[in-house]
Amino acid sequence: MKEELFRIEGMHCAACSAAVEKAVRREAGVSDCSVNLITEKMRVSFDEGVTSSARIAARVRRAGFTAILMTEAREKAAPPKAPSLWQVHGRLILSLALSLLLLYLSMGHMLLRAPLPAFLAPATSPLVYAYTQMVLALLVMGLGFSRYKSGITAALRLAPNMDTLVALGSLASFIYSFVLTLLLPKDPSLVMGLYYESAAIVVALVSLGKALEERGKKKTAGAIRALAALLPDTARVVREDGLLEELPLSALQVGDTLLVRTGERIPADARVLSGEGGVDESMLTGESLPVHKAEGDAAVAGAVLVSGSLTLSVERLGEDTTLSSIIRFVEDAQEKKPPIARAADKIAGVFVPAVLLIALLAGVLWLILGKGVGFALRIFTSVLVIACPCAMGLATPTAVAVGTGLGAKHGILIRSGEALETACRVDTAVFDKTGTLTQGRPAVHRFLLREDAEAQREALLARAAAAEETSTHPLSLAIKALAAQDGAPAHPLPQRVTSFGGKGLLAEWEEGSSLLLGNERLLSEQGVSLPDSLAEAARAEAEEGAALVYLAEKGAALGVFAIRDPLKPDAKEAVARLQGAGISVHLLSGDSRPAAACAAKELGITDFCAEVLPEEKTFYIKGLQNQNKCVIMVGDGVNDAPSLASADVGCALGGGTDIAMQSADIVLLNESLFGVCEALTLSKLTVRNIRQNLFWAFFYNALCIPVAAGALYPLGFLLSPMVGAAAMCFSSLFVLSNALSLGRRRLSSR
Amino acid sequence: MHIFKVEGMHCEMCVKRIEAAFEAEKMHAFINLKEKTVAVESETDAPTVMELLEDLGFEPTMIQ
Repeated sequence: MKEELFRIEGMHCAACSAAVEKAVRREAGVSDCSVNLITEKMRVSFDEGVTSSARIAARVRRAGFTAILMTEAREKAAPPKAPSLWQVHGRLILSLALSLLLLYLSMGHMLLRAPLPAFLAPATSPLVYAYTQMVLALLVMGLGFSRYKSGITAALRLAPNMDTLVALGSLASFIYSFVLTLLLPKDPSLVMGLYYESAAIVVALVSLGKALEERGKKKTAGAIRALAALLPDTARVVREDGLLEELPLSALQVGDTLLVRTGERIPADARVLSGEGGVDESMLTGESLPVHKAEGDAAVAGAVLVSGSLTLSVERLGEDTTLSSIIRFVEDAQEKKPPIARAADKIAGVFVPAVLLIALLAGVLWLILGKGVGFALRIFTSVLVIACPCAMGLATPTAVAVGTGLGAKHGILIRSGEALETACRVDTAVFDKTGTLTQGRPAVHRFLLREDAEAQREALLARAAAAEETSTHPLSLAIKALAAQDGAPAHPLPQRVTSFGGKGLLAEWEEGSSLLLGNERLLSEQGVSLPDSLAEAARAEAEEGAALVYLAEKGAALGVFAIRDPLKPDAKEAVARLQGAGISVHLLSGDSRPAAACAAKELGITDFCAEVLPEEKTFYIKGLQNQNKCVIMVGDGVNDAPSLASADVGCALGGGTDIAMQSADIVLLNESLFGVCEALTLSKLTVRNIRQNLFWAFFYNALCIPVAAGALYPLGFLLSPMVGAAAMCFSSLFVLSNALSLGRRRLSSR
Repeated sequence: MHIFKVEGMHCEMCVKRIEAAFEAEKMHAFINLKEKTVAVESETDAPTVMELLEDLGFEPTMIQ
């Protein structure tokens, strides 16, 4: 006894489902059959020795419906769990809270006379006061352990980074304070010279900065997932016995015969066995004009069958499909990108050795001046303590955050903080053509007519529009749009329309008149004569990349529609602006050479490439990068995903595909190409702001270094925690307010 | 003229299925949805018509 699940197509009402059940029950060997109209499913239990799934399906077919055997898809493996957001943010919030507590204890009491219970106050119980601070500091330093790990490894490599400076400063503060704490029983007044809060706040703020930077990092998984989503979940397989079976893609094999219907996506790279239809291959070429496929033609996994139906033989599956290679390209491109050198780390790389030198010199100097080892050590550590700016870690992320917000106000979505920093170094721009520089919608450029047919221009246009009424092909839409635009009167619809594959159509009206619309091949096949004058004019248009739709009546061609994909109105100006800013502009297109050449000429672009496949676009960009150029890629289609990922900055247009938007670093939401220039300006302003922030971060601390070194000792001043706190306060304030000032800038005058 | 009462005929879709099936067999039938009847020429083989209607999932009874 076997039980099978089928999907039934064509059911409509309860009578239909009842009919299916009755029809199937007539098959000998069937013991039970239940049909669910709503889920379109039928469950059948039958004796395998007497009948089979194929015969049951045949019964359903005889009843006037279609049965498709369903194999239950395997449970998809659950995606790996990402580290909980709480774990990351929880530690940060805890360390900030503890630091604030510590700050209250130390500064709050000392400066502002904030109340403290007697058992905690420095005046009454200095030891408790000190040890409490120590514990709090230790906790915060422990939470920020990764900073120490990173800083010390960098130091060992002799390439000190920002974390090295943090480790140096906070450890110096802690050790110095700890020594003082141990000496407290002998001299309780030392309690005023503790720097525990310094150690904690430096670590906490730098951790905060790093967390903000993590949030600004580009999420790349989305692009891969979106590309994988181009494949359908199941495929309709035609078995040898003629039974249709719906299988998950994982169960397909090379050589299987597939049936794909209008509106569905092609499940694998395959060759057409029979049938015909139009396939949207924009994922490969960027062109959404459907390509006509018939017996013998190849179709690509992930492409959409926009019209007709195809029976195909599977040639390449899964990993071997063109789509998978596009996905691999995107993954590779994302992995190979080296992280950009951060300004803060570069400065620290110089600052750390400089500070160590100054501390050493200062200590030695005071030794020579006879102040004793204790004093020298105090000077040494003081310099280290004050030298670590706590606002350093916030300089970059605050500027990036405000810059991102500023961009958002101008319709520029920044998906990657790093790209915002890189964009100002761009010296080359590569544009995709279709949909990016052009509108992506074909429009009639010229409607040429034979001289003697000129008088009937409006009438012919009206008839052509009526003939194309039911077609949704982009070329038909262009003709209909022209008719609407020119105000051509509505013409009665043809009684019969015969389609000739991708070549054109013949419309016939009741009163006997007819109109043939199609390409040159259709004309020769139908024996239509083409006058030389028309042919020449058409050829001129074709050389500029136009698609030609001829109009013929009674065996003679009367006219031709030259249809092009027009450039966006702001394209020329945007390209000119970029070139004016010293950026060389290139054009890459999957479209034909004449079309690309024509567009390039109109835009004033000299470097261009046509008929480019998605992977080839990345080679072009890598070639430029090998010449040490910093490249921004602007595109909108699925076929741009690999190049958007491999360019230094990937820029997608808001009206484009989801995949392009997920692969890009910057998305121009209002689709204006001027946004590219604005994005570059935004980057310049942001990077300038970062540099200013770093200046302010280091300024106050650097100012205090001489004080820490004992320069004011003759006047009685040495470094005190108060001074340290003041430096922390001023530097943080200035960094934050300077970052916020970026938000008030304007990006351009439109 | 053979007339069959066909139980289970419900909507236009059912009529279309019957029409399609008959056309495939190159037989001509007169279908009345309201009366739920299917009528065929006398020359047509009655058992064949019954079989066809049963295959379609209906319950036919010959009235005439």
